[in-house]
This record gives sequence, structure tokens and C-alpha cells, in this order.
Amino acid sequence: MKVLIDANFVIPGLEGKNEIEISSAEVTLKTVLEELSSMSSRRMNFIDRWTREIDYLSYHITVNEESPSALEAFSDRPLKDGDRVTIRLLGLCGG
Amino acid sequence: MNEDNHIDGLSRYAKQMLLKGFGKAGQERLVSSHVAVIGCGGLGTVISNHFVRAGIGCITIVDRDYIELDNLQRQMLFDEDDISGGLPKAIAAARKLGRVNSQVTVIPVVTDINPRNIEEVIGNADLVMDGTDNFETRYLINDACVKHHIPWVYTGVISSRGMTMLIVPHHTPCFRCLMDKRPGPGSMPTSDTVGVLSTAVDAIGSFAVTEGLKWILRRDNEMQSYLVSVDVWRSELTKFEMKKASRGCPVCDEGIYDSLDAREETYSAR
Repeated sequence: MKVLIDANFVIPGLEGKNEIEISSAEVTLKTVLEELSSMSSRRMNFIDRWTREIDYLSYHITVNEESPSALEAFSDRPLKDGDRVTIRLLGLCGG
Repeated sequence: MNEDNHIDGLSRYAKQMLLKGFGKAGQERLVSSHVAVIGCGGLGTVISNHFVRAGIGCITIVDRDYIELDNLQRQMLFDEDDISGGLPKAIAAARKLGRVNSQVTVIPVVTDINPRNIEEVIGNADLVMDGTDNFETRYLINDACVKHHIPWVYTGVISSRGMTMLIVPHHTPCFRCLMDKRPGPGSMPTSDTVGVLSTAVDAIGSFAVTEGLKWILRRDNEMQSYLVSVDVWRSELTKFEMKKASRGCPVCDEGIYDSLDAREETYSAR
């Protein structure tokens, strides 16, 4: 199935494309994010390697513009063909 | 004071001028340039320190605050005597930097940066450096810099992480392209809520100055429009190639300067 990807930065391995195709039967948001990390040769890590959850301090991620309401469950959210995953790198506030 | 350095104005920069692409011509370009640093906290002190030691010709330092004890952990230009003296940060920084390099013109400005004064403050600058600690001021800097075609370097730091990016109006994505939706007040972590490691401040401040130096030297073929993100605790460095706003940017595409036009608001430069 195809998942549309909308990021505010270029994801290495996805240059010039706005979708990825995943062959797994059950696809979750975490599946897609892991796949994107893998495509970038782990230069981008959307899943925190220590907590194994989405790195919410670095990225704001939505599915079809739906924001996570329960953070821990959000990465397990099932995706269907044509869903749009939006990834925004968050700026840091402090100085 | 070493009199030789005063007599031969550039000899103090000998090691720097040896760098490929720098040389005497690069140093002379730096000496004839003017940088404005908005905010003189952790980032602002690191940034000002490096520019003055590198030999920038003129530096304007803007901050309204006074030095407090818990600033000393990361604000590299200040010490306990500055607190006893009750000096504003901009003044204390100017005095300290004047002793570091008396060839540099340091202009301290003790004020809140705001929509009414920012265009005057940065008007003579070749480059603006971000030493602020809030997004509202960064949107304001972005508006003013895009409007007047002045490059600026965004820098932010929190916890053990920092990020920086050179923004060249109409050539790179602007800050509004990066963050199209303004975070609500209190919605983002700050050093007051999650803390900040001084080495993160130092590391990303140094990256930011390097971006600024590269711009001043006009080394266009090496000028990166990447956002550099560093986590010093995890020993990680990531480069992001940022995109322009996909649906059109109100600032750099349409020339709508919301923050600059909000003339009644006051922002904190610290």
C-alpha cells in the first residue's frame, strides 16, 4: 500500500518523492516511520532509540492532519492506503 | 596589552588567516563587517565572544536583562563581579569584549527588541545572529530580515540539543517556512522547564558563528542551507535540508510581515 509523506525537510532516500510503498499486511505509523529511518540509512530517527516511541521533542507528526491525542498509542495507529503522514521538524526555543 | 597587535592590526589573526579560503582578504572582509546579536544569554555570549575574537569590525549586542547567579552556568562572558556591579548584560558583555579585542567596535543596546525598534537596530548590520530564547522574537527577526534582505542565523538550544540554520532571504527557506504554525505560549519546552547543558550552548553557538563567518566571507560554494542539529549528550549530529513552505510562505513569498506589523507588542531579547 502507498502512504503519502509530507515533511518540511528532505528525507534522505525519499528525495523527489512524496509517498512510500509498504508491502506489509498490517501497517502502523511506527512501521512507516521505521521504514523512513531505514531509507535514510538511520540518518533520520523518528523513533527515539531509547524510549522506542515517536520522538515528540523533535518532530510533530500527524496522520491525515489528526494530531496524537494519546501519545503512546499514536505510533501504533493503523494506516490504510492513501493515508497522509505529515512530519514537521520542531524548532528549539531556548537560548 | 600587546602593542604589536595594535601596530599591525591583523597579526593577532595569524592562525585564522592561515585557513584555506580565509586569508588576509577574508580577514579584511570580516574587519569591515557589522553583526547584530539579538539576545545576550547563553547563545548570545558564545556568539559575541567568537565574533569579537575572530575580528568582526563592529558588533551590536541587544539585551534588556541584568545578570543573575543562575546565568553563570552557561553565559560565558559573565562572572560574579558583574552581578555585584548590577550591570545589564549588554553593558557587561561590551566591557568584557572590549578587553578581549579593543580593535572591535562593540555597541551595547539595553532594550527590548520590538516591532518599533528592530528595523533601526539591525539596519546597519550585514548579518543578524539569534541569541534569543523565544519564538515570538524569532518571528520578528525573520520578518525584519526578510523585508530588508539581511541574512540571519537562527539558533535554538534546549537540554543537550541545539540547532542552527543560516537563513538568506529569498535564497533559503525562511524561519516561517520552517515553523509555519506559531507554537502557543508555554507549549514548547524551555531551559526553565527542562534545563540546558552548557556544552550544548557552546557547541551550537560555535556552529552558528561558523555559519555566519562563512556567509561574511562569501564562500557561496560552501554556504550550506542545512539546518544542523546536535545532541551533545548522545554524540549525534544531523543535517536537515529544509524545504520552503509547500503552500507558499506568507513572509518570503507574499511579503506579509505579521510580527513586524504588530507595533504594539513587546518582545524579550535575552
